[in-house]
Amino acid sequence: MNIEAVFFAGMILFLVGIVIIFIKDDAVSVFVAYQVIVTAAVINLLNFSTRPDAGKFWADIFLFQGLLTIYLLIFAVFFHIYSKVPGTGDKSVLTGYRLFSIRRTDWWGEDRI
Amino acid sequence: MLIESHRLIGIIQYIVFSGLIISGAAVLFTKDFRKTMVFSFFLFIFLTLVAFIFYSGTVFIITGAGYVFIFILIYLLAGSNGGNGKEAYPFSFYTDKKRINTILKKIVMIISPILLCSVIGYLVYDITEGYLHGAERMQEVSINAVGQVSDVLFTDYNIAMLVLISALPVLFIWLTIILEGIKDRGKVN
Repeated sequence: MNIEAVFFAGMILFLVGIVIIFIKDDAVSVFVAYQVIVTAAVINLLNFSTRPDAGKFWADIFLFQGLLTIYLLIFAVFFHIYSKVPGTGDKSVLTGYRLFSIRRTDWWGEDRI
Repeated sequence: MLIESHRLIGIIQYIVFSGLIISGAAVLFTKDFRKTMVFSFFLFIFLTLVAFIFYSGTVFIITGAGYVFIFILIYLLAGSNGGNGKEAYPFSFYTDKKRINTILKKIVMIISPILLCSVIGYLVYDITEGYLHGAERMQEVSINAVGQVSDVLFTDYNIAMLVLISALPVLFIWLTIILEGIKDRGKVN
């Protein structure tokens, strides 16, 4: 496949992700849409890194961008979680607002002390 | 095993891109949580194949590990909110909003994004058709062997630094949860 065909395949993938975000309203499908969009971006980055004027420098740039994307994704998810927390400290009002229900015991594997 | 057959690589590329598009589009037609997770699993498989069929696959393996880890983490957390997973969906973004009841509104909500994305796709195709028509690869694509990947990792990159950078997101999540637990325990006491 040449660069043009891969570019259009990535574009179709990106548009499929956009359609899923608009139509579906459940969280898992939206996460799949995010994954599809990020995959389309990755495919385009890899595709254009094979151009004649690209070299190892662009490979290093891609490594940096990939790590930065993962960091930003994590910070975005945590910002979404903690931006929904009111200042009252009442946990009962958080039901249905938080994207995730993360508790300490999910990571320690023990009961809450 | 190093694969340099361009015909074979081309066939694999067509299969991978078709699989990615079909798996992504199939999410639109599923209403079951488990089927959605099956299609996301296929997405992970094809994404891993993408990392190998391009020239920069050696570099992408490093970032792809963290990428796959983060999305698996998100899916697990979303799935854990749904109890035993027998519900249609674990939870929805729009639980507090009014449900769309009328059929007309449903049709508009489905057709309008498809029309919008079709127009965007046509515009991008029309504008970039001439620009990328003559662009050809000079660097031939080959599927890297695992030995080549390890050689590049150990010669061109600092493994200790990569492990440290990869551990930072996990450390960030872990410390955030621990601090939240300590704060809650202080309130109880």
